[in-house]
Amino acid sequence: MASVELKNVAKSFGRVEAVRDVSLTVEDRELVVFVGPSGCGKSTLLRMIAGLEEITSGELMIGGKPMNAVAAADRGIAMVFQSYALYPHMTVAENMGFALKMLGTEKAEIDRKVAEAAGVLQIEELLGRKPRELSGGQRQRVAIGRAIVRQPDVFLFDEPLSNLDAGLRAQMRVEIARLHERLRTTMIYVTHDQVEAMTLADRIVILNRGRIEQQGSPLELYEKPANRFVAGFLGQPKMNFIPTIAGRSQAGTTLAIAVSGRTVLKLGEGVPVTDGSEIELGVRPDTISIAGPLADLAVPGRIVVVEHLGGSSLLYVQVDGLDQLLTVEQRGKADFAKGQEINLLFDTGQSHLFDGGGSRIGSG
Amino acid sequence: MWTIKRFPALWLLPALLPVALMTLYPVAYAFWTSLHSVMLLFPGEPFVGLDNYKRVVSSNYFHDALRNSLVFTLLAAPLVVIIGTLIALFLQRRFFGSQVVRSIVLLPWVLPGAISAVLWIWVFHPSFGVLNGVLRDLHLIDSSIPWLTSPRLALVSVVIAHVWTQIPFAVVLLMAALSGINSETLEAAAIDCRSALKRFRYIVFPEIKAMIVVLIVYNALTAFTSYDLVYAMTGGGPGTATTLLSFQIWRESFSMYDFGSGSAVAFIVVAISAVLIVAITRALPSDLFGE
Repeated sequence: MASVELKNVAKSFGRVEAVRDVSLTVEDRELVVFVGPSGCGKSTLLRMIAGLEEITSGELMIGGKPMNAVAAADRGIAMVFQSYALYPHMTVAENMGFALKMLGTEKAEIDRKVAEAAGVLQIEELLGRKPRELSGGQRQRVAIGRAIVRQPDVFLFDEPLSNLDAGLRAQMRVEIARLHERLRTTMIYVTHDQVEAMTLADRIVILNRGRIEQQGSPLELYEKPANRFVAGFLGQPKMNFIPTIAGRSQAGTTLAIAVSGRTVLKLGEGVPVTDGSEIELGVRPDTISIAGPLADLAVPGRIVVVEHLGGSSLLYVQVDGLDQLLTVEQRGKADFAKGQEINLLFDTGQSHLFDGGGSRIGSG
Repeated sequence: MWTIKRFPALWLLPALLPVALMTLYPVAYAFWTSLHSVMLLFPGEPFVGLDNYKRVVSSNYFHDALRNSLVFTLLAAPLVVIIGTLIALFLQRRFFGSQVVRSIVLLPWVLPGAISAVLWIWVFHPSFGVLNGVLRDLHLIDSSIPWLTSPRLALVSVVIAHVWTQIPFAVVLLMAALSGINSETLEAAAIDCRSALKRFRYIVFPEIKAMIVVLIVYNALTAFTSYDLVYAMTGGGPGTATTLLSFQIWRESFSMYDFGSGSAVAFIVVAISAVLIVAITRALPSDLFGE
């Protein structure tokens, strides 16, 4: 059991700065997910915590002890890799017991711990097999089992599910969540998959270009993204971004589509925008509703593509003055057809406003 | 139907015929020769049974050559593989100039045996040799060591030269084997075990074991049948101190023109080589040779 503390940690590979000035505390027993696009530095950060990558500058503490100069084997961590990284010539049982064997643990004790971990993961019948005789999902279980057997202070997961197919990934995601419930150990989980991040995390840390963009609980980040990057990264389907111009008059503040000049949203009082400023309006697909043609502030558009998902439909709508199609998510089994003209209505309370630099101004 | 399952031997003929022509026929002819008295100066090739074998085996020359060849092989083959492994492990690391060092290590490979021999004669030369010079400068010796002219040192010297020529090939194959190991597996090992030595023993070695066995077999054969480098360095001397079995094949065949006896020695070499291969693959079982 231990917390993990990073103070102004940075990593450069030659001239390339992979991680810049990251400060972060992972509390004891917390499950924190590092998420971000590829190349954002999330894996490098995890590997520095593991001791597989030297820390260029800054300080790393695990359980309150400085770890910068401590060998990976002595940090009290266990890691699950994307490629599973099982030892190919060893059986499953030998793989799981290897770390303990290296520590000089007695054979009977190793066997007991391996059997216990195998029980948790329901892989008892695989113990005598070699990794090459296992399926991807089974290999991943063994890799997790190998981590459990060590009883580490901190579990590190480096994109552990990205090599699995979609169905298995969803299943293993639930199992990792249950494992965290059961073990109550500090876990740090790296992924580029925002669904994994949203479903697993106590706290999400969103990284971009080696920096932390925002951290917080999944819902916090979803509902109050600090900037355009976070807003665009979290959420499936992705948030729509509409370039608008703010207009202030006695009637209130409104936003109009920059190109067409059509007013699309009336803002509440106290939103700090100046007349004529460029505002990027962020609207999640599931907050857009469809209205009659006479509704106030309705935006007319034409459906270009319809994706029927069963319980809901995704409409890709061409709106006058916008380069990109707007994505609209409609619950229920309503019938929409390609080419159909519809009117969209944005919800002031669930809209996000970003300034020219991409920072959040507020919600409508 | 002309399916492959129906006439397996027939389908294999295009591949087997050249093998038969280029390998089996000469070997069979050599075996036939070893059982006959085939001398250039005497016409007729009468069957003599094992007489050729008896004669070569009973000569002192054979005893010296066999002993030297065995010592040469038992020293050279393991040394090549052990040093090759150490160098390969070292070169796997990335460091400043590692690419240059990698290229330099391969250099001995491109030199013909005779040129390597000239190089090493100069290294071991009693008066102008680099080795004696260095040892003298370090005040480790007072007088020059006669590397190539004292019987025991001469054998050690030719082993060193031979090992030097064979290392690059071993390094290349071992680096290929090492680079085949999943880097995440090595990282997992680094997290599981602090000792680099133990990680090599339990994780790396099993992964490159098949390659090591191949290299030991290959180097045992190369050393046991070695000829050019040693001949160019010492001519088999002083006396018979560095005389190898391959020399006797040459001597019987092309010096005495007794091809029957030459072939007999050649077949003894083949037989001992076969025993060596079996012994090595038995001692180091790996997936490669059907464990």
